[in-house]
Amino acid sequence: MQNAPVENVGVGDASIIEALRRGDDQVFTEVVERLHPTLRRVARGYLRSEEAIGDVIQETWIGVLRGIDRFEGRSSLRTWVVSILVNVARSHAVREARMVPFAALGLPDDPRSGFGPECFEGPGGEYPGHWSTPRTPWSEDPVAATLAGETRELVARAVAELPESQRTVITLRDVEGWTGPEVAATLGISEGNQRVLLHRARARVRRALDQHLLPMERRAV
Amino acid sequence: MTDHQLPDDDLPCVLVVDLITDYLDDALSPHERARLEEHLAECDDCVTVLDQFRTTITVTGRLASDDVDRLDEPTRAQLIGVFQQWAAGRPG
Repeated sequence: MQNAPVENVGVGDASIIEALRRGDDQVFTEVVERLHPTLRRVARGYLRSEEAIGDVIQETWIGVLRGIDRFEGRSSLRTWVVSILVNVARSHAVREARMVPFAALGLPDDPRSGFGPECFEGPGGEYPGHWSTPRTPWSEDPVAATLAGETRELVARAVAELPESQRTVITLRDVEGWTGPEVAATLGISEGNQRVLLHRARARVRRALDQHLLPMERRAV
Repeated sequence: MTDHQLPDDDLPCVLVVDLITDYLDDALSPHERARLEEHLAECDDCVTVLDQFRTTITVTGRLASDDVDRLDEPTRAQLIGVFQQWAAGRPG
């Protein structure tokens, strides 16, 4: 048979699943190739060592194959595979005793959007809740500068330093380009919570960029 | 759709920044969206911050082209081995 296109896993899922069930290793290789970067990026949010990440990815595919006869295609293939990976990675992380509960949305005093109370006028001000100092646009275009190593490194580090739940969501949404409903389904959380985690994650990355890109004398936040 | 219980008078900037991801996801009600856009039409500072969030999203997306996460040859061989072993053990 003609191999189903796996450029966008989700479209040809039914025929891919059929091919996997038949033992078509070419289709398996294509699916693995396509999903591998996503799996690595998500796994790295839970585990640091390359060895552990490799183990988790192998265990994930074993889990996928064990479950493939029961997979009913209610979610996309990639959603299902990543949800298996998240479960495997979390149980590895629990064994390493470095797991925080996924439900933790951030510390209560962590300003949701990355702006502390000092950024806004207080209740006694002329315009309570409005900016206390003007916002400064970034002095260079970080999109143009992304390929320059420094900015890219900065963003990668900001993402790496996020709490696991925020990191997983921003990785799937903004790095991998998944939709909100798909990410919520994969992680078993509501779309609203998914957006809260995403917003906090973006806020932290924005802040890292802000500190990097603002002219020295304007770095207020 | 999230119900944000917005105040009746002009939205304060402190609330606007919390709504940015909901706005970009089109998860606000039409009323909330209109209120937010009214504010943005008047507030250059919030527009600056909104632009910075958009840029942040674009820049984060560039991490997808990181070559270190591509499938390497030893891992490919190992996973194909897992698959072939699994396939060989299946009935029929």
